[in-house]
Amino acid sequence: MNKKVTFPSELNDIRNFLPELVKILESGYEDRFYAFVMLEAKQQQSMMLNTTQSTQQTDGRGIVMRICANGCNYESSANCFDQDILRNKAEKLRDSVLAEPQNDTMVYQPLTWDQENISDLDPLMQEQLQENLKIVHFGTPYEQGAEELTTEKMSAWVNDVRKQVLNKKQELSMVGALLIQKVITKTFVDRNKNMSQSLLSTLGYGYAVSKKGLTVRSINGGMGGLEVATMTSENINHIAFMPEKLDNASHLTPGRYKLITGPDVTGVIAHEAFGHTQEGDTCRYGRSCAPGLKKTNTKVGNDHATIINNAAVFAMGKQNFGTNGSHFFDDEGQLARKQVILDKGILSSPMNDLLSSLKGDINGPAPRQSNGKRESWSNPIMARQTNTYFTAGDKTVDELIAMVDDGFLAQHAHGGMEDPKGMGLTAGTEYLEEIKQGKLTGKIILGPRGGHIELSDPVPKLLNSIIAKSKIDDDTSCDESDIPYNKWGGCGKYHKEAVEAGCGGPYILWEGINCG
Amino acid sequence: MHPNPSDFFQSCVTLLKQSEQEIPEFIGWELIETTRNSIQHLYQNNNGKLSAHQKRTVEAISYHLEVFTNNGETMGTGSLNIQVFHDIKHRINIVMEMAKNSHNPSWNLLEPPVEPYPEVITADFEIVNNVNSVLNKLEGEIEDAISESKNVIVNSAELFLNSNSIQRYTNTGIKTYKVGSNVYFEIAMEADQENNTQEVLNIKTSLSANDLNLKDFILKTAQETLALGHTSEPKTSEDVNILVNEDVIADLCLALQSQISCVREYHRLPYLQAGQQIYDLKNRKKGSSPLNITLDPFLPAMTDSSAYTREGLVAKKAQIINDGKVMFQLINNRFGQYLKKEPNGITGNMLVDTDAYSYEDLKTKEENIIEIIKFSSLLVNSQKMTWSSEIKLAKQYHSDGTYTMIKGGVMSGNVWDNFADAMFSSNTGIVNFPPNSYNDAKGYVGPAWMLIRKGVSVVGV
Repeated sequence: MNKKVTFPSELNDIRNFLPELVKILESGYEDRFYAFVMLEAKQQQSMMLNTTQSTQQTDGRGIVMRICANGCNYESSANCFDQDILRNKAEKLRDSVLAEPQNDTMVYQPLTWDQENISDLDPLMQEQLQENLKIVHFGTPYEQGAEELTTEKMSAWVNDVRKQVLNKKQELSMVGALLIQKVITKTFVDRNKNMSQSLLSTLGYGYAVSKKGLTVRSINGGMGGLEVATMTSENINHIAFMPEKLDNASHLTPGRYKLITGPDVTGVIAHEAFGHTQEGDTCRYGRSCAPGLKKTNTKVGNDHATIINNAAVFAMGKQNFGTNGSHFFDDEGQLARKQVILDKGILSSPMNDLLSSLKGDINGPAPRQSNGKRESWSNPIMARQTNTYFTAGDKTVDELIAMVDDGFLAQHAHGGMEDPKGMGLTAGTEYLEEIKQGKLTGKIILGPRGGHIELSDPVPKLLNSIIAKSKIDDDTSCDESDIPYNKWGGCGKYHKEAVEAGCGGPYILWEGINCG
Repeated sequence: MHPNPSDFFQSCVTLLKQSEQEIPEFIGWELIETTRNSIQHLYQNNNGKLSAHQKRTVEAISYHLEVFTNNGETMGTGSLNIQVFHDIKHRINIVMEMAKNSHNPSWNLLEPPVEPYPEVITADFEIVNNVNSVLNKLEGEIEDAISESKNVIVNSAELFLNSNSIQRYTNTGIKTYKVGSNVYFEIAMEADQENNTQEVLNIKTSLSANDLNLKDFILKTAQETLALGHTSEPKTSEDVNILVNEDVIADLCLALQSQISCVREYHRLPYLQAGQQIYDLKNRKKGSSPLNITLDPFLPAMTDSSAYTREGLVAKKAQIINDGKVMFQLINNRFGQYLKKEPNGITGNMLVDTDAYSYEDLKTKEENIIEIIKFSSLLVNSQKMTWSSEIKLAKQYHSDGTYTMIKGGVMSGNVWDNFADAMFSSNTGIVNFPPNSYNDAKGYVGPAWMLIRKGVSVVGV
C-alpha cells in the first residue's frame, strides 16, 4: 500500500491557531501546569442494505483543551470553532484552575522530540517522521480510500454481498450488508509537539438471520481502504449456509469442556483476562487485583500466557494492514509502542494514561503508555486498551484439533466481561463446533437455552489451563509481521464508554473451560 | 414552548425549501438541532476522601439532516450532520446524491397531527438552568453519605450532569421541541480490610436531581459492600429458580417489547402480533403472576417520556400485554404503510403490574433459590429471546433459610420460559436509565423482584 492519508487541508487554519490556545492555557505557569489541545475531526460514510436501504455521512469536529495540574485533568471541550469564543474558553479554564487549591506534587513536563526514543517506534511511524519535526503527520497506508469510495460504489458493494448470499440461499429470513469507512484526524499540540494522525479504517459486514431468528455474520475490516473489507467466498458461504445449521443445532449440556478458541474468541479472552485488570486507572483506584499480584510477583498463568497490548499494529501475519484499535499516538499525545502486559504468567506495570502514570498504584508511579483514550472529544479520558492479543505458539491448527479427544472449537466471539477486582472472566461465542477423536465432526452446538454460549472461569485458573497455541499461519514463510491476527472490535469498559479496540491471537487449546 | 430557531437552523431551513423547489426528485426533509451541555466529574479516593481527578465541561451544538428523494420506482433516504463551519448548500447536495443511491419502497411522509402534542415533563430545569448549584448540592450529599459510611473504602465515583434540547422541523410542517436532562452517578467501594477480591459498583441514574436520593443510595451501597463474604462457584444445574431485581426484569421486558414492533414484522425477524399469547395460560405453575405491561409516555421526568414518537406521531399510552396476551403491535408511520396497518404512536416507559408477594415470600416459594445481586454482563438477545451472563455476585438460599454467597459460573435463560411461571413482588422498583453509546434508554416502573421458576440453567462446579 503506497498511499498514505494526508492531513486535511481544510483543518490548516484551525491547526495554526491551536498553539495560541496552548499559550493561553499555560503561559507563565509552565512550572505548575501542563496544557495541550486536541482537535478531533471525524469523517465517516456508511451504507446499509437489508429489506430497506439507508446511507449516512458524518463530518464532525470537536476540540478539547486540557490543563493537567494539582493531580487533576481539567478540560473544556466544545465543537465551536469561533476563535474568540475558544480564546475565551481557554482563559476561563485557566482562571478556574488557578482558583483551585494548589498542589504542585505532580507536575508533568512533556517530552521534546529529542527526548523521544524514536528507534523503538514501529517502522511505519519512523518513516513518517521528517527531519524537520516542527509539524508531524502520520497517515494510514491504503489502496482505495475515501476519495474513491462514492455512494454508488458503496451501494454496489452492499448489493453485491446481499445478492451473492441470496443466490446461494433464498430461504433466509433476512440478509443484510453494511459498509462503513471513516477517517479520524486528530491534531495534538502542546508546548513541544505539533503532530497529527489520520486514521483510515473500513469495515465490511454481511449477515443473515435464520428462520428461528439466529444471526450469522462475517466481518472484515481494519486500518485501510475498501481493500481491507473484501468479502471472500468463504465469508459468503458462511452467511448463506450456517443459519440453517444453527436452526437445527443441538443445545449444550452446561459443563466443563476441553476447548480450542479461534483468534476472535482468543482475542476477547486476552482483552478480558488481564486486559481490563491491567488498565492503569482501574489499578490506581484500587479496583484491580493486578497491582497486588505484581507486588508479590505472583504467577497468574503458565508459560503460554503471554499477552501484549500494542497500538502500533500496522500489519498482522500475512496481512499488510492493522486493525481498528491501532493509532500512532493516543488522545494525550503519547506515541504508540508495544507493551507486554503479561509475560509467561507474570504481570508487568499497567497500561497507563498520563495521570495514572503520574499517580501510580500501590507499586508507585509507572511508565506512561499509549493508552489514554476517549470515546470522543465530548467524553473523559480513561486508560483503555488498544489491540490486545496472545502471542503465537508452535502448532498448526490441525495439530491442535488432533490433540482433542472430546471437545469443541469456538471461533465466533459474542462479547465478554471481566471483573478486575475478583478476577472473574466471561467471553461469549456464537456457537461451538464439536471435535471427537481429533477431528471436527461438523456438528454445531448452541447454548443450553438455544442462545450463544458463555465461557467463564476465574482468570488464573483459565490462564494456567493453556495446553498449546498455534502458529500465526500454518506456513509462516510469507508473513509480513510476527503479530498474530487481531479482529475488528470495540470496548465499553463496564459497558459505558465505547472505544475502538482490536483483539486477537492464535488458536489456543485450553484444558477445560466452564461453558453455559 | 418552542424557542426561536437559531440563525443557522433558520438558514438551513431556507436553503432546504429552496432546494425543494430546484430539485424535482427532492420530496422531503427533516432537520434536527441538538444542543448539549455536560459537566463531568470523576473522583478517586485520596487519603480517605473522594477528590476529583477529572473535571470537564462539554458544550456542543449539532445539526442533523435527513432527506427523502423520489427515485422513480423507489424512495431514497440519506442523512448527514451539518456543523456551523459547513457550506449548507454543499451539504444538501451531498445528501441528495446519497439518497439517490438508496432504494426503498415508497411511503408517505408524516403530516403534522390534527391534535396538539400534550405537555410532558422531560427535564429537571434546575439542571438545565443552574447546573453548578445542582453539582454543589450533589457533591455535598455524596461527601456526607461517604463520611457516614463506616468500614468501607470508596475507590472511585463519577458524577455527570447533562442537559440537552432537541428541535425538529420537517418539510411537511411538523415542529417538535424537547428539553432533556439527566444525572449519572456511579460509585465503587470495597470493605475496609486487606486482600479484598470483591467490590460493589453501583450506578444510579435519573432525569431529575431530586429523584436521585444519593445519600440513601450510597448508604445502601455501603451496606451491600459490608454484606460481602466468602464466595464459591455455583453448582451446575440444568434448571434453577432465580430471584432477580428490577434491572433484570426491565431488560427482559425490553426484549419482549422489541418483539411487538411492526418493524420486525416487515424485516421478517421473529415478532409478536396482536392476539398472540406469550405463555400458556392453562399450564402455568400455581401462584404464577399475570404479566401485564403498559407503555406510558407521559410519566414525569422518565427517560422514555415524550409527547411524540421519533417520526412525530402523537405519543399514546396503551396496555400492550395483558396476562401474557399481546394487545397491540407498536406501529409507526413508515412501516405501518408498508404492512397496511394503521400507525398508533404507542410508546413510552414500561409499567409492569406488581403482584401480592413480598420479597420475603418470594424467597420461600421454591427451594434452593439463587438471588442475583448482580450479573457481570447480562446480554439479552431480543431475536432469540435468550440471555446469558456470568454471575458477579449472588446468594444461594438453602432449605433451612440460610444462604451462602456465590460468584462466577455462567447462567443462561430463555425469556419465554422465564415469564411463563414467574412471580412478581408487591413492592415497586424504578429503572430510569438514559441512553448512552452502549445502551438504549430504559424507563421501567414495576415489580422490584421477580422469581423465575422456569427456563434457567447454570454451570459452575
